[in-house]
Amino acid sequence: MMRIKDLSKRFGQKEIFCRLNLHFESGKVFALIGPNGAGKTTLMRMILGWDKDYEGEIVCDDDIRLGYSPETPWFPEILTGQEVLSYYLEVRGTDKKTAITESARLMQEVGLDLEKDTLVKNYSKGMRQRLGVAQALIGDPDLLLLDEPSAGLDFFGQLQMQTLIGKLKAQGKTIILNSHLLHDVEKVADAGYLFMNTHVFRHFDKAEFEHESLADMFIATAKGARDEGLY
Amino acid sequence: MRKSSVVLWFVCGAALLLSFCSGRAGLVDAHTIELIDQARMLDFDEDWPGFQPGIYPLDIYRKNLLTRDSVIRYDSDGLREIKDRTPVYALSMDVDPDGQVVVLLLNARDFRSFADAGDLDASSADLYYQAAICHEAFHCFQAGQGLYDVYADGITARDGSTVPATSRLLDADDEYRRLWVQEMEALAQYAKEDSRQNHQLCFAAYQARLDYLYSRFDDTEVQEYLDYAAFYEKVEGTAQYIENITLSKLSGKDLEFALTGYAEGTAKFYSSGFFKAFILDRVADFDWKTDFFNTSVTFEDYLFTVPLQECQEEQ
Amino acid sequence: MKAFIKLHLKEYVGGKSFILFGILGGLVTLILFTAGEVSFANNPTEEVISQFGSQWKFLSIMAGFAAVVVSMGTIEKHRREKRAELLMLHRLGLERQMLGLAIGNALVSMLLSAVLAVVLIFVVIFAGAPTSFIGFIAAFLSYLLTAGMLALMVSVLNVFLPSVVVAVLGVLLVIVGSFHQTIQGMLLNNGQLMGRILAKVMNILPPLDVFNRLTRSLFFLEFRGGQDLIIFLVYLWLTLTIVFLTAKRAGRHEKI
Repeated sequence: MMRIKDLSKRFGQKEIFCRLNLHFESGKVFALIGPNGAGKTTLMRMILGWDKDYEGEIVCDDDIRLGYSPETPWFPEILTGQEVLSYYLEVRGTDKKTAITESARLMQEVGLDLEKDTLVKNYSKGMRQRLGVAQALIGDPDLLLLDEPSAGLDFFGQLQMQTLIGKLKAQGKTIILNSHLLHDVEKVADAGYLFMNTHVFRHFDKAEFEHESLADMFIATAKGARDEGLY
Repeated sequence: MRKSSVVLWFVCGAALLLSFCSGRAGLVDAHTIELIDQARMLDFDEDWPGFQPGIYPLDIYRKNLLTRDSVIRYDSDGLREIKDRTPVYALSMDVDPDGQVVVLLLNARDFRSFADAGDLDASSADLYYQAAICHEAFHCFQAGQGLYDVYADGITARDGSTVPATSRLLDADDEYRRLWVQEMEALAQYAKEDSRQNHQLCFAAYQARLDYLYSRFDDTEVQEYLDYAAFYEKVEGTAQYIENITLSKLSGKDLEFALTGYAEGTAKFYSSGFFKAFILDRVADFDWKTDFFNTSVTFEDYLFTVPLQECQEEQ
Repeated sequence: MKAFIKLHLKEYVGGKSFILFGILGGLVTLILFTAGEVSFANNPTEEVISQFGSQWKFLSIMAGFAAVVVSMGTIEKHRREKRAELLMLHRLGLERQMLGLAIGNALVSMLLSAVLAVVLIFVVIFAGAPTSFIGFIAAFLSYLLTAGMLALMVSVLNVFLPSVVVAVLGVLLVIVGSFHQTIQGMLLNNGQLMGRILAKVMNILPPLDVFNRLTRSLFFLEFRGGQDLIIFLVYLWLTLTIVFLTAKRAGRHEKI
């Protein structure tokens, strides 16, 4: 689905990535985990093509469709949830009638059909995040990039988001998930990448965290890196 | 956007800029010349013998979009640009470096732009423009009559003059303002109806204002202020009189239209001088205009010390 | 872009601001109609002309301020709320976003200007005015377009400058523009070199008083010469060109 080859990125003097190589197969859920400032959101922005100031290559399958839900998505406060989706659909050029039908379907998809006529300003944080995912689903994307979809959600909200991601995975979507919530990742991810800093980085997959929790893996990696003077 | 649309867009822009520049082509626009010519042809012989607005050269301010602004002289030789002069954006009388009295003028569009506070339509603006030309031309006439020789010592800028201080105090004085308004209304009444009673009312109002002045200031201060007021009434009041006659001639209205209001503040002598000129025209049994500018005679001298028709008859 | 502009209108055309502007405009109209005698250079002017003329003058100044208030911070807000990226994801490029914001601002300003003039419209329809249907429509259009043009200018300023600075510049633009010719005249009148230079520099600013005179000329059916119309169109053309170029720049640099 997508391959990242020898990706290097700097912000001024600060090096974010150094010859990074990643591989994302289709139909899987990938997690990007790591401390703040490790470059997870930057990586998503580069995949989306919004940050082109890097060296290396991001190679995707032809005609790949991307969807993205930012950490704190902005929605027009004066619109209802369904109107927000209709708005983005119309912005893409969908006619009004189709936009209404499609937005209703998407609201149902993310479990917001009962709140479709509620103004966004009255939405809870969890509802906003799910609306963000619904927005990302517009255009039936092959690859979904979800930036901290469960951040700030209560336990129930996190469960709802996990269920939603599972449902999307079952539909065959490839998902790249940015998250700090390790137990959340353990529940939904098939594989992922752990970023500590430019030099400390590792790949993991589901088989590994069946034996070792992500938290332990994280701590062990950090320890090892510190012993080698890399972290 | 398609390339053809971009080209079309810039062609439209170029066409607009061309129209804009062609509108400013020529030394002075045709409409301005038309208005000037009309004003200069007006006949004032019955209004003020000897005054001919058409004989004074006009120096018209020409705005140039990018280059230096310039002066356009308009006289019997037609239009020509005077390059070595700094133009002054004003409507005024001036004396050029050759000693020739000239009218400084703006074109009709600039005049309207400068004067318009939102309450002028194009026809009125044109009328006021023509009236202003005659007003300034009349200042040229006054100069030719020797007015500035009579007042060669100067009135407003005399060293050590007490007038500025007196004026400032009077501007803030409610009682003086009341007396001034009372006098203006008496003058307006007298202008509308020539009667002994109205003459006496005017005189009483004038006297009351005079008494008040003497009660507030010393004799020198009062005398200097009265000289100043008399000079301005004479210079600007008569020019306003010509301006109003111009408006009357061009609009077909009776000159009485100008008695309906009067100015306050610095322009008050324009109105009071005009009222007095209007009254003298109606009531004087002598030719008050001859020798008015070449002597130091004032409106008050004529109004209150020389017997007038109605008063004489009643006496 | 239609949906984008529609949302912009929905966000900025609130009921409260409409009522406020309607009341303000109505008050100005009524006050000016009852203001009494007006005179010019010590001479009384045609009352009906001075009254309607003053109406247009005051309403234009208020519409100018409305355009500044509406447009001074929209682009900064768009940037602050990070609206651009999701829109780009949904295929609305930055160039079209910038254009949409500027056009949206112009439309909102024109709508508010129309609301300001509601009472005047009633007066013209029910009490009569020295105009014709075509004259009134043409005058109204030039009045609205002036406000729209100002909104476009302020929008472009907000691309490069923060809202506070844009607000100050916008207010100056309206004040200086509304008395452009008078101020320019005063600068030239003083005859000093600096005055003459400043008078030339002032040509950069839109002469809103000339645009207003065009409105009045159309209203009073005394359209003459067309020079004011050409000046208006030249500034409109320049403004639109600057808006397009700024939008192109946003698209090229990938930032608004």
